[in-house]
Amino acid sequence: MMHTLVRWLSDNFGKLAVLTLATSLGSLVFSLVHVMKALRQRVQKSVREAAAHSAELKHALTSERDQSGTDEWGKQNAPDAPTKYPEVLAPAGQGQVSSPGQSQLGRIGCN
Amino acid sequence: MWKVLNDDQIVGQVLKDFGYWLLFSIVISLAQLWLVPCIYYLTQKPLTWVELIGNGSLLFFATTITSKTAGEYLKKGKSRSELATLICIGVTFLIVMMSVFAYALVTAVRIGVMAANSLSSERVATFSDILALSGAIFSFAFTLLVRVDGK
Repeated sequence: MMHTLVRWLSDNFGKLAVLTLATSLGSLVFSLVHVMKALRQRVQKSVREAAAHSAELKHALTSERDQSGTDEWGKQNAPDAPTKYPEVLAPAGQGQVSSPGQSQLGRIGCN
Repeated sequence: MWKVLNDDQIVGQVLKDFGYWLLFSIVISLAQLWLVPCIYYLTQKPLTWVELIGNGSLLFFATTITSKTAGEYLKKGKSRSELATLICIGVTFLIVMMSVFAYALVTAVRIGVMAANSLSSERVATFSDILALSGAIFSFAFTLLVRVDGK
């Protein structure tokens, strides 16, 4: 039995060696596929992180604009927009800050 | 590690690792195969490829590089898949057993257990080449996996 096996192995050793080579080439293909998959996952993860960061920045910017009452260029919005210092926008006599001869728009500009 | 290094640094690190792999696992491991022919060439003595590896010396290289790579993969592969581990063990077993059996045949012919004409040096050289190439390919593949999984 053992002798027959050894005989068969020695007779077919060339084929078995080629089979071994094919197996190692298969492992190389598997490895390359695995690496490509890992790289693709990494790229997708980076894209997702960048999108989340962008959305976060956008949200922060929007809430900052809402707080300061400015438009996207930093200019003041309509007078009724919320502002850090609402008393400046109040009509003369109702608010605390008002100087004679200074227009409301001018005061806003100073602010 | 992915988060710390940027893409250029990762590519540079992987290339550096492969430089080390090429230098130590291939060039220096196979020093006999290029150093001995160089010396023979300088001394103007003829030496054929079959004479150089016909005794099965390259089979040791196949066994060594395969087992070393498998050990490194099983030790360092943090997020290795079960399939990759199975392939690693299977291919390692195949290459090592084939190399061992080939060397057993060479030894049997040398000590006279088998007939001398049943295994020629050319045949030994051929399957030594094939098994060494298999070991080198396997080592390249799983070194790549270790580096990518490790980063």
